[in-house]
Amino acid sequence: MKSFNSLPIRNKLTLLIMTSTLLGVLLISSIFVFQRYQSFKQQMTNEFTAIAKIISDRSNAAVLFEDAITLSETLASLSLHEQVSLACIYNNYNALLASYTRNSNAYNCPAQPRIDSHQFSRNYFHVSEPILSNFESSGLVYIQASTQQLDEEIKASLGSALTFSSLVIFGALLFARYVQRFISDPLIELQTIARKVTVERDFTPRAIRTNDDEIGELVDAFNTMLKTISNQNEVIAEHTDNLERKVEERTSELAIANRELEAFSYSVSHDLKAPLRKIDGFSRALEEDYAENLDELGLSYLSRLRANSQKMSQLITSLLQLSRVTRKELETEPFDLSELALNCLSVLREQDPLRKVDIAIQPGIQANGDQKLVEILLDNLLANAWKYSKNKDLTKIEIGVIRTSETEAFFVKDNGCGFNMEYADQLFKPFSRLHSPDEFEGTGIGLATTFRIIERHRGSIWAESEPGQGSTFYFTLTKPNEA
Amino acid sequence: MPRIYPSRFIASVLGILLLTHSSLSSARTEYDIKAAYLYNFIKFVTWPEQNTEQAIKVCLFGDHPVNEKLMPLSEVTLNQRAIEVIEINAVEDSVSCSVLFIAPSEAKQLAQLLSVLENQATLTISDMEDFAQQGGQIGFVTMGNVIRFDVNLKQARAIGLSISSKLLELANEVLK
Repeated sequence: MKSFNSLPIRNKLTLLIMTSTLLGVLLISSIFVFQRYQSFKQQMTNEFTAIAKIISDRSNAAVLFEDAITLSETLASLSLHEQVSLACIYNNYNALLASYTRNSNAYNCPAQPRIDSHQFSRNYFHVSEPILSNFESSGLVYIQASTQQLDEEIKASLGSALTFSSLVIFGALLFARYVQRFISDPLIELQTIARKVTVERDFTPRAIRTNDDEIGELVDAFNTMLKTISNQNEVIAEHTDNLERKVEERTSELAIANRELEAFSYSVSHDLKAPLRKIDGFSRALEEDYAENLDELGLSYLSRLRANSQKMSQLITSLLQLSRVTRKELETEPFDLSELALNCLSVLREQDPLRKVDIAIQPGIQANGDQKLVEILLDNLLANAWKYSKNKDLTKIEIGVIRTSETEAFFVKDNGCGFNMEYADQLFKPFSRLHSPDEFEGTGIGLATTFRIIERHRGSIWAESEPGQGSTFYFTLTKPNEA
Repeated sequence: MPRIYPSRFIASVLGILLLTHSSLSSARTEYDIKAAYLYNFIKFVTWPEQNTEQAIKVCLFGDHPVNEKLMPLSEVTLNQRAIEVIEINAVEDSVSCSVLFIAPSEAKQLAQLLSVLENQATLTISDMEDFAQQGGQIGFVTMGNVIRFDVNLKQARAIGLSISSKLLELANEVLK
């Protein structure tokens, strides 16, 4: 039934009507033809039984007197009836007394005719009638009649049944085509509108109600549904608009607040620098010009004052750098990362020329990004590597690139003290430190700045380490798949 | 093939009686046939004032080989009427007969006999020559191997006997 299921509804309806009509017409035609057939058979039976009775009655005397000539004459009268093909008269002992055949090629009289019966065979009707005289049987009349006329009548009945059936079926087809519209047309209209709604997102068309039945109700329900959807769509669109406007407002407010905050922190940092420089300048002047007037404890306080003011200066510089990193406009261009790393390391080396350092830089690493920001990034990572490996006899620093099908990741590897991977998520938060200031000095802003730079490049940064086994920092400057 | 016909018994009796069985037809004598015909004539003749309680009286006048063939008819009923077969010797005895079979040996007494029966409803049958022409009702005629009969219809009507047209149809000659 899958094929029936996939038929269009108008064909389904037509098919249904046509099938029931066809069955009905077939039934009626069969009954008609069968009844005609039965009626003809009955008619033939009646007719030839009557003829046999007449012949029997007319022949009883001649049979008794075995007058074959008279019997033959009697039978010869049957030539008036075209259907009679063979007629025979027997005496009481089945001896043939007289016979008649329309056609000399016809069957001969049966040797043992059946008594008082009638039956249809393939092409003939057979009837036997006893010849009675004074209620005593004295012989038998046997008549064989051709059923050709019956066959013709049946053919004619079949013909008229066929004509009738054809007319009814044709009528039913016209009727079906006319009637199915009342059901299928509104449904097709609904389907067309539903498709338009789905494809074009147009909720304005409405189906026209033509029926007062369930389909009419369906059309109404459909229209109501469309109206409800379109109303809800309007409400949603309104809400969306409002929401977008609000988000925009909030975003711009937020941006302004952020900018103000940055400007504030920048100006605070910047403004803090001048008094600090003065504090440092005056403490140095005190140290240089009045050292002999101070005892040992006074000199010690003075030196701690200077150290802290320098630390504060570093902190402010870092804060300014973080602020700059955030505010600077991104200028993306290709550059040589290897060379950049080399420059940074040479600065570090100058500050600590006595360290035994083994540096391995993969030559000619090409990167794409804001060179100034990447320089700050490398400064921070390399300064960390330098700083956390200071306790080693031989500092080993390696810079390189790992290319995968998805991305290329640059790395900075050291053989320093490393860290516990449990705290890896704390690494890139501002002011958070994994090591105490007594062990390694630092502001806690370096990796936060690094993270901000990577974020601005839409890349990613992660680290692998083990306490005592050194650390490796990986970073990418693009989103995956954009490399 | 057993016959299921109710008159099977009668037919078999008659079969033996009249020897009309086809297998025996070669053995059928002229007398067998004449006896059968005589019985059959009774079937196609209607007597005036027929009374079913009264037997059909078949009288045999004069010696004839057919006579002994007709004797068993006494055991038969026809149309619910018994048949009575008797031999008569005197012309006067013929008055109450329904059927009178006259042997050719009695030809000399025929005129007397017919005058006695002039107003009697008696069917006269004989195989003497020109019996019908001489005033009898049914006369056997031998034509080669075939036995036929003449009917004197005029005579039969005169005494009120009604003979079926079927019988007349079969007659060799019908005198009117």
